[in-house]
Amino acid sequence: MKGLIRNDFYNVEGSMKLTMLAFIIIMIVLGIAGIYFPPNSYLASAVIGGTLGAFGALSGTAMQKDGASKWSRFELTMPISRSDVMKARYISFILYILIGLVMAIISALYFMR
Amino acid sequence: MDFALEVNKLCKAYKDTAFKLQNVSFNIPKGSIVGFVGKNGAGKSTTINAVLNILHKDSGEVAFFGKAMTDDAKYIRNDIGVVFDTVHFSGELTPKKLERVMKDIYENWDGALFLAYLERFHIPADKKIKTFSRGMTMKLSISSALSHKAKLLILDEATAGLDPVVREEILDLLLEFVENEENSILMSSHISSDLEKVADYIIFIDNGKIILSEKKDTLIYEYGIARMKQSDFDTLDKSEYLSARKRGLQLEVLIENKKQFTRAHPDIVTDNATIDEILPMLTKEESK
Repeated sequence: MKGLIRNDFYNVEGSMKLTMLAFIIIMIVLGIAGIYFPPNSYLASAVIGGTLGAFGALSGTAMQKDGASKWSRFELTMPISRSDVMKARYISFILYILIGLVMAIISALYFMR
Repeated sequence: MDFALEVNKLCKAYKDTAFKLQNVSFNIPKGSIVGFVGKNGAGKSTTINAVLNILHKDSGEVAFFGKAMTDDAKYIRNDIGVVFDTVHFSGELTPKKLERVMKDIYENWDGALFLAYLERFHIPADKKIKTFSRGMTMKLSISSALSHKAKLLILDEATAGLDPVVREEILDLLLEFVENEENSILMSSHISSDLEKVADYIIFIDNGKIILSEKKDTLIYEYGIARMKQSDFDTLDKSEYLSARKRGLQLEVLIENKKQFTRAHPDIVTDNATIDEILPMLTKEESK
């Protein structure tokens, strides 16, 4: 089952790097803007929510790529059961949300400065 | 337990169409290559998917190496290698990354062997799979199927769309594979010449039913096609042939035993039958 999660990860690696990059850029931009304009909590929660959503969406991307390549059919021929597939999806999803959460906390701390 | 795969009275109906698999039964003896032949839509892929439990079957028994196949019996699938006709790996991965994925899934994964196959086929280990040509993805799929000590290979139209050079490389690999008497192969294919080269048995399927199951050598050396005029045809007894069809002014007749037939009818021309000729003769019934 570890292999399934790994496959999932490789699938979204590209998208994840893009998301991280976008996140960093937005942080820098907001940081610069914050020097001139006082940051308000409304904007902050929007950014935090958006971050969580973006990372969670990675899971959707992974499933889409799986569907496109018939991996979801092939994986059933391997020594894994359907419940393994389900578990791996959930675990991946939780992992991505956690990463998003960490990013969001970082941005929150950043704002509090 | 001399069979790699035993399928008994497999039935599967699709709700939306009239098509269904009806009592499909066949066996794959260990150490043999079994070819699976049929028209498009005859049920080859459905059978393979049902046997592998990708599709849920309605009834029937499927046993690999004597053990029943269910979703939970995942250890059995360590011994089965599958190759489909389209690329079934995520395009974002590279072969190197794929190797790491496979290592965690298959019990007997042999990474060194996999990398050796990649080298043998000149497959770049660090390029994304979505950039590969069809031939390369097929070679990659087969390399992967051969790298976890599988004892049964199932290929569903795996050589379709490949150039003859690549096909021959793959056929050689398959023959190498069954040199070990414990290994077997089930391959469905439209490319009859491939099957004529490597298969030991041929199974014909049409409209969800198995219509003939025979040794390849018997089909090539004993079966035949006789061509004759209507007047000659009328002298034949129904028991002397399997099927007949009209071709212009001639009648073509499929016979089981060339020698016997020629002895009984020395004036009628009989030819060898190829799989490409046998299939349409079995599937198009002429009113006798």
